[in-house]
Amino acid sequence: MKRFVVKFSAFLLLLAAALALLEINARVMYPDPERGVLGQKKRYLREQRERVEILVLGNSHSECSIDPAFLPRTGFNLSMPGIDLRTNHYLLNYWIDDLPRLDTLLIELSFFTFSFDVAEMRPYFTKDFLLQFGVRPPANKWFTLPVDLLSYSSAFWLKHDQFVHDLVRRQRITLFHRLIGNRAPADPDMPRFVFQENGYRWSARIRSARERRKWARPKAEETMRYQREKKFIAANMAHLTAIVETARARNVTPVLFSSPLTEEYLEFYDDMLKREFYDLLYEFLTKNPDVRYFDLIRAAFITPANFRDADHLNASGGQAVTQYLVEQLWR
Amino acid sequence: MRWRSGWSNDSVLFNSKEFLIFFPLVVLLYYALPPRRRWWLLLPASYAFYMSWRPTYLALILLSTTIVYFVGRAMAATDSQTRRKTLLILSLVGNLGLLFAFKYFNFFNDNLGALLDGLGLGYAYAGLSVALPVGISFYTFQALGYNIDVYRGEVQAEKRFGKLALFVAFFPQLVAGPIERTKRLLPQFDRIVRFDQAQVLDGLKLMTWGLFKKVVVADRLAMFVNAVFADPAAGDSLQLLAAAYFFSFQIYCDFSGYTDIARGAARVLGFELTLNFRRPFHADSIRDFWRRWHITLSTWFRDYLYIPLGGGRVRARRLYFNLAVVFLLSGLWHGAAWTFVVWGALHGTLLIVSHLSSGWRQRLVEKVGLMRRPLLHRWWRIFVTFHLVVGAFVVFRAASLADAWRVFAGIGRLQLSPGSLNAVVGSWNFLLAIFWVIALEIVETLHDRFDLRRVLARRGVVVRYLAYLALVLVILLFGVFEEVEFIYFQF
Repeated sequence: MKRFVVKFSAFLLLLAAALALLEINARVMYPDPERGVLGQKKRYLREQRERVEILVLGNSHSECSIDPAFLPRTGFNLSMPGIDLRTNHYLLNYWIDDLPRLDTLLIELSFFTFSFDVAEMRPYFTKDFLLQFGVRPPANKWFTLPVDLLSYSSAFWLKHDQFVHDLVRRQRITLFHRLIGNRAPADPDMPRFVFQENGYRWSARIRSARERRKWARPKAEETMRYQREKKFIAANMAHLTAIVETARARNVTPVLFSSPLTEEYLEFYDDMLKREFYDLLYEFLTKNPDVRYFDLIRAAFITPANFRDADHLNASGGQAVTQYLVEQLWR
Repeated sequence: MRWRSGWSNDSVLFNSKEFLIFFPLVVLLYYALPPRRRWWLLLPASYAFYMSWRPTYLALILLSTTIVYFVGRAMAATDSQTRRKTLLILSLVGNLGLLFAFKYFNFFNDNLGALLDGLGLGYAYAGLSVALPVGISFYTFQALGYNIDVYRGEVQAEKRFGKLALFVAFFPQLVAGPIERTKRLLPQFDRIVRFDQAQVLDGLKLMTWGLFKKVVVADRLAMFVNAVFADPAAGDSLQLLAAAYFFSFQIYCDFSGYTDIARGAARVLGFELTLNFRRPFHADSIRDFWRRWHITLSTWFRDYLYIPLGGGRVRARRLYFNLAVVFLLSGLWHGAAWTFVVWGALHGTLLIVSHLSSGWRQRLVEKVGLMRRPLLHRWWRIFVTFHLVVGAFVVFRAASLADAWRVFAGIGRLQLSPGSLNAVVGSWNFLLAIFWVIALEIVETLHDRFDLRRVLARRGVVVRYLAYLALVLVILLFGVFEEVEFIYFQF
């Protein structure tokens, strides 16, 4: 028995050392507020919190479609890719007390918004929110508390499934930067996204009609899957209602809108699913007649040159949508 | 939805944090007790394990145990064959009645209702609102096996209720097998278990390997499979084909992973459970597949149903009838849905067709010259068998027969769109899933030939520790820790 205890303890020590090494690497990579998408947005918003009057919540569609640089007052685009209404609700509660001048809340709704649950569809994103915003889900059982505490305080445990992926990518990017003689530190998220300090995701890219068409189908299919599962409609409706009520309670005006989508994407999107979205939205707006909604999905002022891909706008599209909303809401 | 039974978050899964606390605690207490008293701990531990899901359903296990205990005792107390037979029927009715009520009643009720409605006869019996008890098919069959063995005089009736209760509810194999035989497991509870370092370490290694299969391979594949099977009409040919292959490996890794953890956990406690899988996708015929897949279920059906029906030593027609009965029931055992029944029927049909066509297939093989190339012939047989099994698994996995048809039709349409595989779960997850399936096949093939555990055991301590460390780190780094339930729990 003694021999077993010694052997097993030696192995556990070795394992602990390996985990510590991974933890150090993971901490460098993720919770550093200077790095990563969420950390960066969090830092930018904190810096401007006294001034922000307009806040944008939503997914990657609104992240690309509202450029706060064209808003009449200080705005911040807190939209993030792959986010759901539950997380948006949490984010609003997290920030609302820190934004004393907040006046308008712009909330984007996509076809799949009522059916999407980030924890179910993209667990990595939930973990990002744990890491960056400190959301602590309650422990399941009292006796699992030590394991829960360990996992909530560890970057590795929260990100283990994405860790190797990003580590590999970081090494590849670092190598690339070295090859081109750039000594800038490589961040796994930065080459993909270019953020402005107001949270807007900026892109000048215009994909050709052929390329838009090529990617429209898989993209539409991916998002239609969420809608077809139809599991989270009631919960998401409740979150949207809670978001609107929270805003009202603070004298903040909630405004709903849907971002433009390409013809190619809309062509592949099932008409029944589109109708289902509008039915749910109609039901919500009937219950909340004071909430304004702007349907820009087929906005006439948007052209193919305003899109960076099948369902995201580029900088020119972001400007056009923002200016249109400004026109409607404030002038 | 059939593939998300909704109880996983509350139960002690082998891949849960709760088990990470529960199991070491049980092992510590177990070896702290005097050797003769160690089994005393296992019964409350097993019941606690089961109650973590739904405490009230422990009553079902207790009821089943009570039936088989008293029936066994009553059989032992009589010499009358008629009375013994009556007692056996009583046990069969009691246990299968429980199984029917909790697992099959609603299925039969719904189908009867649909049939009578179709005939224009009114039918208004509502279904039962009960949850399917986890592992009910496994412990019911194990308990029934005990009574049949006592009836046949192959084992003595157990006098101590506690030991029999432990045999029915032993926690490592309670909810998803292996379905143990009385002769093999019950006497092990009478042995005095002493701490054996080699055995404990061996058990831990087996558990780790099982966890690798479950969280690294099966759960990663599940991400793709669940997304595609949720809406087969939306998938293109490549997605559907990949999902069909992936599901076959997913269910193998999920179930054999569970079995490895179960066998490993039992070994740590000093018990040996039966091997349930022997690289089933290397089978060279459907018959061979059933010698390698869920071995304890197929041998249960063989010994308690197929052989009593006459087995293979009967006329051809009777043999086909026997095979059809066994495989239809085997399909139904997996779940109360037409997909499972059809899956069983498909396997039964394949066996019958294989039997009927053996003559002309033999002539064909001789004609094309495959007899002179035995290795090529064997690989061809493996290839064909594998694809028949994959095809049948599509029916098994689909939410309905209509969905299964959609998958086959979708594959047949040969409609491809670029990037469609990546669109489902992203290229990283997709490539990882393929990589781990290939890695698993390589390791299992090597293990089959060289017994990797022995090869490793002969190496120095540094090599061994690094290999074990690598396996644990792979689980931690590449595992999907969303506490996805084991597929076979629902059966």
